[in-house]
Amino acid sequence: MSYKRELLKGSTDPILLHLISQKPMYGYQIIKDLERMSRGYFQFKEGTLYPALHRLEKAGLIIGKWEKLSNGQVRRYYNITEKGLQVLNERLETWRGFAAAVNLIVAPATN
Amino acid sequence: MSYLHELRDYLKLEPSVKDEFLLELSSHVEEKSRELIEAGLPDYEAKLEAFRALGSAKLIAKQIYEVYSQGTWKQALGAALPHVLIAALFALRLLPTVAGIITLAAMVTATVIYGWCHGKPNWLFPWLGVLLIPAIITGIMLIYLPSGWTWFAALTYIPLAAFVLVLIVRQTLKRDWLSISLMLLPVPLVLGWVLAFSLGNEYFDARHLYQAGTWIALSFAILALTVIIFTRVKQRWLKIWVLVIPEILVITVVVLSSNSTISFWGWLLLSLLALALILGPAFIEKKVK
Repeated sequence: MSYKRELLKGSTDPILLHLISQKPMYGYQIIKDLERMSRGYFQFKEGTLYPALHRLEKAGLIIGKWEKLSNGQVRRYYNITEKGLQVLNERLETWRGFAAAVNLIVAPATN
Repeated sequence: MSYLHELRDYLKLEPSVKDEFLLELSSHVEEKSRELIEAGLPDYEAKLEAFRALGSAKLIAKQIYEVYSQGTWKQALGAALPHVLIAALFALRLLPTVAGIITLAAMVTATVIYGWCHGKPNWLFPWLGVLLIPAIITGIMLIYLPSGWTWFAALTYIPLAAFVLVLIVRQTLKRDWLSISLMLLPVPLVLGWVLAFSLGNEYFDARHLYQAGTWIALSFAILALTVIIFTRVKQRWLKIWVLVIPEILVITVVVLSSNSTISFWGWLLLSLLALALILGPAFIEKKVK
């Protein structure tokens, strides 16, 4: 299903940015929320999420911070930045326009 | 845990970035395993499933490499700076004056010490390569010593030089063999220039360096451009080609400006040496690992 994979490639960034904009999140939490909220539609190869997160961080759209839990475990939480919020809004605007245009073609409004 | 060892081997990142990335994945595996164990899976199977869900270590390493492989323009210019300096000093005929040599040596040594003690960033390797140049020239100058002394000097100098080179190479191989290739870029060029001025002569005449200053400047300017493009390019296979093609071009410039001192066979030998220095570290890394 390479078409689905291509679609997902283009949507990964806004999806991740949107999730992180809701609250600070760490990698494993993002994987679980993605699967739950999409009702199983999005199932990342878990390891490949992290290069995507690092890419967003390097672009200045999110910022990662280590936190140590009481049981000694460490987690890297990601927060969205101002620049990330701006990019997210732009991408969502583009997506809504695109989705609306596709819907107009495949499901024309009835009178 | 062999998955993480395998991933560590594949990762070609600066040490601090590599350690943090592995810690993040390790924490992910720990948390997923714990959930699977709570769901009833045995310890060993839970860990196996957690690693399996991560996917191919090779793919993860490739993807994270492409995130960090492209340096900024600032890093690219910083990496190219030693070659730019040499090009400028030769163009202004400030090399090979004593003042020029001392200034360059001091700057390069200080920068290398700083970079070596601060995590060996990617921009350090071209500077390390420039630091090797005096060693290469000294080695070649041994042949001009009075007879009898050459063998003695060679027997003491060559093992010492080899020891230092092996030390640097071993440290660098832990990260990425391409960094060694980048470091060794000036070697065939310097050899070519020294051969151009010394072949067929009884002694090495430094006046030739003044006369050929513009050509030497051009050759180092090409190296500087190579380093900038290498740093800015993302894909690994493209980085290799970026090293190979300009290096052959630079050797051609040296041979053409040598007034037939270096023949076609000299050009071929220098080009083969360049290829060996660029691609050889890959084979050494495989052997070492």
